[in-house]
Amino acid sequence: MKNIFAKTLVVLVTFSLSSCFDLEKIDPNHLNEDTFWQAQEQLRSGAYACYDVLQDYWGDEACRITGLTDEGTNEWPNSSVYNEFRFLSEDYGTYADNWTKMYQMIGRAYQVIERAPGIEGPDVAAITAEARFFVALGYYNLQLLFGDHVALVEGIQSPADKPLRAEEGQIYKIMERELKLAIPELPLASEYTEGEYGLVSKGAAQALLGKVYMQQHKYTEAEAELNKVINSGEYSLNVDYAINFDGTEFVNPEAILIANFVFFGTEGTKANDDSRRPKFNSLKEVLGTYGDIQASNFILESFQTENNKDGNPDPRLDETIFHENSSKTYYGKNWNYWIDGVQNPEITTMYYKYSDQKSVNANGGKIKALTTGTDFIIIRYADVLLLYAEALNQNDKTNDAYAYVDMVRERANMNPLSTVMPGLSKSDFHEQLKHERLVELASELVRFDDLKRWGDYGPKSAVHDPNFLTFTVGKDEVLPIPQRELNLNSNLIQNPNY
Amino acid sequence: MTLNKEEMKRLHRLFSIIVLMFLGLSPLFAQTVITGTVTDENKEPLSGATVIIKGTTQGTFTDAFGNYSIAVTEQDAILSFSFIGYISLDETVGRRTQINVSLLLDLESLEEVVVVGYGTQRKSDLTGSVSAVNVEDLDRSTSTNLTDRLQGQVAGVSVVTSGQPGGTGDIKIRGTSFFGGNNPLYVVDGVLTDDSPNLNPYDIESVQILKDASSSAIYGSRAANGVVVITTKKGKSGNPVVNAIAQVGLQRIPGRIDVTDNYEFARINNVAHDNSGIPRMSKADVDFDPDVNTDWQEEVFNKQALMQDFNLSVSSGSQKYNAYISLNNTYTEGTIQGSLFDRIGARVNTDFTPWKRLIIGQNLSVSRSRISGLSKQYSGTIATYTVSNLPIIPVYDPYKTSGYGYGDVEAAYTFVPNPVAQQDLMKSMDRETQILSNVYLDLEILDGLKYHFSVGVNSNFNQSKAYNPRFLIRMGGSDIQSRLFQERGESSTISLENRLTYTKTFGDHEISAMVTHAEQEINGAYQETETLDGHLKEPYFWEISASSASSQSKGGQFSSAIRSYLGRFTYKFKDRYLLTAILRRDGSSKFASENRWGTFPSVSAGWNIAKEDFFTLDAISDLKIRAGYGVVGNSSIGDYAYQSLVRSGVADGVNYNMGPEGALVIGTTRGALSNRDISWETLRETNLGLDLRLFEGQLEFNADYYMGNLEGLLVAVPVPGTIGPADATTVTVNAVNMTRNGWETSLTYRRVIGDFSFSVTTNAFHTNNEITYLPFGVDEFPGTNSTSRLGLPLGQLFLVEYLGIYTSQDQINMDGVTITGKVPVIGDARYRDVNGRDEDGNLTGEPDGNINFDDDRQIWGNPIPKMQYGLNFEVSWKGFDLYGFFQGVTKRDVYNSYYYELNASHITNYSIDYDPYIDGVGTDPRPVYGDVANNFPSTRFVENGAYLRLKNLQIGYSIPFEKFTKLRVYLSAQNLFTITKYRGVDPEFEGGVFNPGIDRMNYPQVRMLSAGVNLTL
Repeated sequence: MKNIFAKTLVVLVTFSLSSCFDLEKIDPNHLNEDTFWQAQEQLRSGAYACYDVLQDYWGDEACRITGLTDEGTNEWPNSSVYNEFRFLSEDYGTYADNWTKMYQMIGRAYQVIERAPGIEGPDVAAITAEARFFVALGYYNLQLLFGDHVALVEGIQSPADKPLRAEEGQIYKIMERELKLAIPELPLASEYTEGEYGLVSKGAAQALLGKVYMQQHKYTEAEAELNKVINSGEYSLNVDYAINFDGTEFVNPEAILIANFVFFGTEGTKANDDSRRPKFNSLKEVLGTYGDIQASNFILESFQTENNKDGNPDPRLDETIFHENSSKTYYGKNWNYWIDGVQNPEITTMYYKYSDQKSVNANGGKIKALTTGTDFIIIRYADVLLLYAEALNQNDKTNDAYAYVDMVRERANMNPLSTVMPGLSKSDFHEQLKHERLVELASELVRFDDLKRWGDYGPKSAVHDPNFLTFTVGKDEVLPIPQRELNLNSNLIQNPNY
Repeated sequence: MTLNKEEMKRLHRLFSIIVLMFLGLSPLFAQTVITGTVTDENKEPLSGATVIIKGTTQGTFTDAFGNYSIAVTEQDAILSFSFIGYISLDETVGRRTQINVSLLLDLESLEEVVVVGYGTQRKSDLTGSVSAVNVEDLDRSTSTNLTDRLQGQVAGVSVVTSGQPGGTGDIKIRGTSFFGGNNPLYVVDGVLTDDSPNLNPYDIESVQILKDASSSAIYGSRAANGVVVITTKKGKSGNPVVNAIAQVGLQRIPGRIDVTDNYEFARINNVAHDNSGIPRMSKADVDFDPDVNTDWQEEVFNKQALMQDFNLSVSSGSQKYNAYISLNNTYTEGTIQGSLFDRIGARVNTDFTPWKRLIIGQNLSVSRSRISGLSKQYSGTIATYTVSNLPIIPVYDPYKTSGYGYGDVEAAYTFVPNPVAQQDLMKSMDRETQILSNVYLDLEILDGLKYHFSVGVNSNFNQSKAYNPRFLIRMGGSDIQSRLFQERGESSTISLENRLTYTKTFGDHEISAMVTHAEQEINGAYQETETLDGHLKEPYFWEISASSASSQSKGGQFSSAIRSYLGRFTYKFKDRYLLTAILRRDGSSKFASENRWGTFPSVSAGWNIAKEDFFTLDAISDLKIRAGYGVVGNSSIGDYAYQSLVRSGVADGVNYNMGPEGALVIGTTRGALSNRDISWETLRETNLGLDLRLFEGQLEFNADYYMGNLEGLLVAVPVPGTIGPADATTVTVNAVNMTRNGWETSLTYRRVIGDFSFSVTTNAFHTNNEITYLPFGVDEFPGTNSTSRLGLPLGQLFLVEYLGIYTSQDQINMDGVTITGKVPVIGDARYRDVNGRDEDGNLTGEPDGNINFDDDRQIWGNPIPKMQYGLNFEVSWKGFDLYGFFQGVTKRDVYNSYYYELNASHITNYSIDYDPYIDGVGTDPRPVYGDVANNFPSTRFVENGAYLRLKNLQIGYSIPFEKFTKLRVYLSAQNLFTITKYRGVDPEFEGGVFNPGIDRMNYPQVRMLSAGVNLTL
């Protein structure tokens, strides 16, 4: 009897002193970051996460940039956060999102860039190049909005990281570096299949690099880079200007970089796959629209300076804004409906571009949804042509520049500039280009870049938009760095005078 | 474990036999036969008591009924009555032939043994702060769970009970320490569990509470919130003892807030609308119906609810085999209609001794509990809705499609849902089956060297269901979708323990050493399904398959493990100098491998001064001072918190659409931010204690003072947006430090005078904390109406100071302030201007002539009570007994959320004592519909939350009836009365960690009257 117990005891002790349970427990419900990044397939998926920010940002926050310029104004000049030049740094709910979403794009891109070296596959280099493009695109927007001294993020961040404050010009150097690394590896747009339409192409990276040079006034480098886009034979202007904005689903030869939107209907659960842009741009807050940003009168006035070849108004007018004599209706309502009871009688036009009129039911009036599946063109070929003309003019090749302006004008059935204004001086040509860019590109979120590049972003814009009357020089050129970021990262310093 | 009378009687019987055998008892020559009965102080017979003729070897012992008979030869013979644990008594025979004696309990010789975790210690040898709970007092409670029964019983342990059927109160040992939860560790028969176990309280033999770090360090990383050590009943040698307890009670919610009736509501509300120029509610004005005067509290709180609790146990055993079997059934109706709690449970504890050095035993409890009726989701808010709904809205309204009355935009503007409809329509059912079991083996390998092995399995199986039809029962919005939600989960915990203990005494030295290896693993899985608008027609079949809509499912599994090595060493010299040292090492799967292991040491010492030769004060029978220091841990985080996961998937993913058709492509990126460096939260605590017993145990006093530092508290801190991942704005880090200190005292006085005996036990305690470090240069964690600031205790009230109303233009001119930009008029609220902003929008700390809510708030008052206390008293006389239990807290500042809800807006009812300034009369601010300035969350709503409550009053009578060992009937009243100035529904409420002073308007306490019978065969 004793023996049995003694034996049992020995067995039990041996059994129990050897540890039974493993202390290494891996979450069985989710993919683990340490083990996820195995093959090209995962890198591809990581890159898609960067594209997700395109949908998120250009369908929402980006639209507000119109309000920061003289092409957009607001019915509440003294209270709106959209264009009043008293940005409270605490007000991170509005402009802080521009900051965080761009760092989201950069952060997701670095996850691809840093994981790529261990992975082999035919597309790894191209996928990494796409990610590098997104680093550059993120910084391009950050620099534009917040100035040179943003946070310097150059890799995957850990929660304890407090990135340093970028020195002057440092952000541009990163953009140039990343794009130069990306361009040789990226496929041409035509090398993508139709199903891959929307992925970043070599042309997109070249066009962005051209823009980076233009903003730094490096016109020689810009001319060379933009020339590559134009001579690639990859892009052309659509015959119909309107087709760029009306949501017709096709592979658009004029689109160099797009944010692809999909509308799943009013009951759709796939949030942020659609664009919320149409909500922002109405004349007043009705039918579920927000009425945040309207077109400044300067837009209509600019179109009224010149008629087309047939003596009719510029055909781009009705596609750009909804105005008293428009041939269109807006969400099934006529002009009288929209102008009735506006807050500020001085403001009489609103943007029509990219407003998805298909949202309106055929029986008139009832709006199905104020979001849209129309793709937004972030870089359009017409923009590149006009930038190229600007670079040529800056490089004292004004005569060569005419041709590219004319390409854009003629598509819109306007007389060639070389006919109506031949032999302009360099500075006159530059002034004329400002007009050309406005009527071609109004509300396409390039005006902010333009004004800054031209040195025009300041009190003198008040002639176009009275909101600029409160502009403080030395302060309002850039947005304040969100207060939350300053609180959490002592390496950052608030922009001057905030 | 405390040796109770039963065990002592048993021991004594053995002892007596041995003594008598020693004495070599010879047959007695009967000259005079003396007979009699030996009883204890409660007149219960003492079986096995020794009766010896003094100076001789002659003696006998009492039978099962305490009777004896002994022959004496001389009249001056002295009979000596003795019984272990009782004071011996000598009686001269004289001419008597019958001598009945009552022996008094000898408290000094009672060597109480206390379970201290992985072993026991004599109470007199304790060096830490360990409270042995009086289980008899716990059994006086009519609560059906242990946690609620602990309320007010132990110094330093605060419990806020729950009035909800099946609800378990919230327990805190030494106050709020951690942000992720302050539940203590429960140890049931040696098996560790983090949740309050669903035990039948009548199965509990003993409860010990390890409060300070030096004693709880034996549970190391899991002990920082204190430890409740529970031992369940074992079978006892002897004839079967059958015990039956039955009690039946009626409960209802005693708390009410008197609110305005339809006329008074209309009077104030109409003025409020007139003052703001907004048209009146038509039902308060032109469509006023004098017959519609709904007393919502009467409709909802008025239910008499039944409570029944039945318990049956059998205990029996022999030298080889012991068994305890019990069966329990509890049935509690909710005081808010429709809810119901019932539990049926059984327990079998057995042990057998196949060989004298070996004991093999097992504990098994299986219970099935069910909470059904009113949806859990709504039972928390229904009290608020009931108090605040308008009297001008009828309960039932035939003009509404749902048939229930609720607000209308122009007629009776309120968003409050109809609480009667909620209880009728929002349903849920939760069922849980719990198995607690362990098998153990105790082997004495050599004298003094013992081995203990235990395997425990705890399993939980739960399923819950929540469902409601499609309906509309509040103003605004569209119908609430019909919904059926079903969830199933299961989890199993396997625990292993190997323990070696060695004890040795040589000369004046006594040592013991214990080493243990323990492991525990928890595995579980869950699955949930929801279907919306799939049940649209009556009759409803609340099953997923009966849904006409599609359903969505989720599921997952989880696993965690912990491995521990621990040891304890004790040393005692001359019974006076005591030393205990503990070391525990824990490894947890919740932390990354490099942070996985934590070491938790403690050391404590005690000095039994009364045992010193120089100590000659007779009145003091026991005097001990104690000091201890220990380090313990806590980890209030999820199972995989340190692991960085990626976010990928169709639902809520970081996806894109490609190609002209926008085909979905799945993106992947880092998900929620994780921190690989997270590790244990720790408490380092010093405890000083004093134990004193006077007058042979009639008076007992214990006091403890503790001071500790809580370090590396886990908290979600904000991270900069530059970090990248989606929606990740915080990361959990070990970041906050706090101090925690306090004192605890308890005082017991017992007295027996003839047939009359009484005892009073009181305890009082206070605990406080202070934030000493916040991360990243932050000096404050703001909350709603409260804030946690560096250098102050957690969760101070943070409000605008209310100074009454403006009663004259002079006052307005004198203050010269604007309130949210407007100049006040007579009757408006007056506040103190304490802060302002400069041109850059920065706070200056100086008044700026404008009062607004964000800028002018101040830290206001302390929500932590100065003292919490409990008082138990017990009086018995012959068969009657009276027991009372008071519990309360002293002054604390409380924000009355009910009054804010009622009196700060005009879309809810008003309290009856609301006295707004109307036509020059009134003390509360002028009613203005939609006005914010007059109704800031301010000190106007701060009240003194002190209370004293008679939690339990019980009168019992033990019917003398030969056939039963015990037959006691009793009447009991729970929450009979409360003395308080607080005007909320209930001053006994539980605030949050970061807002302890804010009444969260939970399900109120219930008052219960019950009757019971306790029968032992």
